[in-house]
Amino acid sequence: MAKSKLIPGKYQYDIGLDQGAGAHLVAWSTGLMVFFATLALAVNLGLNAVTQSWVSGLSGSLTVEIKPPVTDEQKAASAETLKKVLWLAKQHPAVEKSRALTREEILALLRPWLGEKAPDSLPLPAIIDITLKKDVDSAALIADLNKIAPDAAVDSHADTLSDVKTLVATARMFVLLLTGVIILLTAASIAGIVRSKLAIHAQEVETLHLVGASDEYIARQFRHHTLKGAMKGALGGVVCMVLAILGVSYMTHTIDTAIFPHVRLMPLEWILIAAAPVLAGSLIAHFTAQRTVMRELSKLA
Amino acid sequence: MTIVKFSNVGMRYSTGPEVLHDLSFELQQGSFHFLTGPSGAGKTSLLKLLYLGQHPTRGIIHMLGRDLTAVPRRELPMLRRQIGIVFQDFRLLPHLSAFDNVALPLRTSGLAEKDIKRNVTELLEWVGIGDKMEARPPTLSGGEQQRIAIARAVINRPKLLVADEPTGNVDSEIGTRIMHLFEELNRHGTTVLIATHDDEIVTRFRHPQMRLENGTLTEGPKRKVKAA
Ligand SMILES: Nc1ncnc2c1ncn2[C@@H]1O[C@H](COP(=O)(O)OP(=O)(O)OP(=O)(O)O)[C@@H](O)[C@H]1O
Ligand SMILES: [Mg+2]
Repeated sequence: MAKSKLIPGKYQYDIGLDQGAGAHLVAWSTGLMVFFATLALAVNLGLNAVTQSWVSGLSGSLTVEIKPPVTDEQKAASAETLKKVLWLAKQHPAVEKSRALTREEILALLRPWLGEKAPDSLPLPAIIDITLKKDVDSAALIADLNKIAPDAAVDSHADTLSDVKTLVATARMFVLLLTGVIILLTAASIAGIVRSKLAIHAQEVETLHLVGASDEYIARQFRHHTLKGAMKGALGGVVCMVLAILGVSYMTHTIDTAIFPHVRLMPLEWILIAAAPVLAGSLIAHFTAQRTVMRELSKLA
Repeated sequence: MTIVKFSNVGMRYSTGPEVLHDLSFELQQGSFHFLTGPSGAGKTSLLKLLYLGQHPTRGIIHMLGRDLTAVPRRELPMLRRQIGIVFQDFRLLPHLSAFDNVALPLRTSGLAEKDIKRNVTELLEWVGIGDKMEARPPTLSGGEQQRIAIARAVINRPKLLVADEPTGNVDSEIGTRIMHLFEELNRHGTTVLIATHDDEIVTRFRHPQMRLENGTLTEGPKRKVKAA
């Protein structure tokens, strides 16, 4: 690499790599990659946080539903079952607290089906909300409930929970896959840019070879030039991403707590999180350039 | 010592006709030859073989003691650094100053910057470009570019110097100066081969000739071209 005599310390390429229409292509593709990859990362973190709060909300509770009684006889039995369930819940070591829902609450739950004006005479089911203690297995409790109240339906939300988990896992897989595709596409476009630069400057490259330059000497210049462009672009991409996050959170006042619900980050940590994509983008560009140049040069005579 | 040895060498460009046929000769260390012949005879093509810019299509070339067919690609730079080249069309790098163009062979071989500065400055002053060291080739005259090309070819005291029409664009005073520079190098052991149309140079500087016509050597001992 030639160091200019006039401006000490400033790199000067033997080949006119800074000239031409493609000079900023590396910066643009790396910038876009970093922007979208960071976006995908944020979406991923957000999905993670949202599931976590759903899962902990749902998995810590049981709902017991006792069928609405129609005859007077059933009414008595239903009241008896309700009493037994509440009594069991109060005794049970796995239960944090339990409570029968009021008629208003039940009506509110049923409103989508019944409409605003449910007749007073309508028989309603009894619903008992049971909150479990942390990290206990609900299986024993469910078995006990089934024994004392065989007619009552016990819902541990297991189905909903597994649906939500599958959905989120699929979404996260997809986001990850998308990030991978973005990175691959960027690497491919950087390789293409490097190849076309080599073709444009083929004569100068040949001259360098003929005066004794090694492949590594030539590759160094392409590598350095690509790295410079990639760093500029990656920095721009991260700045755009940060601005976008700030903008959205300013408008909604929610985003940052949704994405990082329990994490309060120090300024240094924010800087590290912003630096990681810049570093990753630059490294990807750097190694892609190196590999491409060396492979293309080795094809020359 | 034999610096160059050609054995039945032929060469064609891709699928074109053969432009060099059955060349067999040797160049001894410290020899000085003119390569003459009509335009299109193949002088530049022969020099390309000598500076490893082209592969022969048949025959065997030995350079600096190595059989070129057996030299792996990664060892080519080391071999090329011992060969100085003055291209017919100069082939200076347009983005580099005169200084950086001449410094190139030293930088590719990893010499320290302070030695580079001293050597390059001295040589550029000697060829009369001392006041234009920071100028870029496109802003210089043909003769000035030629002198930069010559300085680049001789800067690291090559074992073999091949020059294609090195006096084609300069007046006779500078032409003489350039020839003296080549003879000075030659006295220090560099083997020199100069392709030229310039009859005045050929008759004034009494070095043996290799003559090419239609891709065949017609003058100079065909089998062996020994040191003069
Ligand atoms: N790059 C090339 N591709 C195909 N053919 C070529 C190429 N360079 C030269 N030739 C052909 O090879 C033959 C020899 O050309 P060369 O340049 O070696 O001649 P020369 O003796 O150097 O001529 P001049 O004195 O005009 O420089 C010519 O017929 C030319 O058309
Ligand atoms: Mg020629």
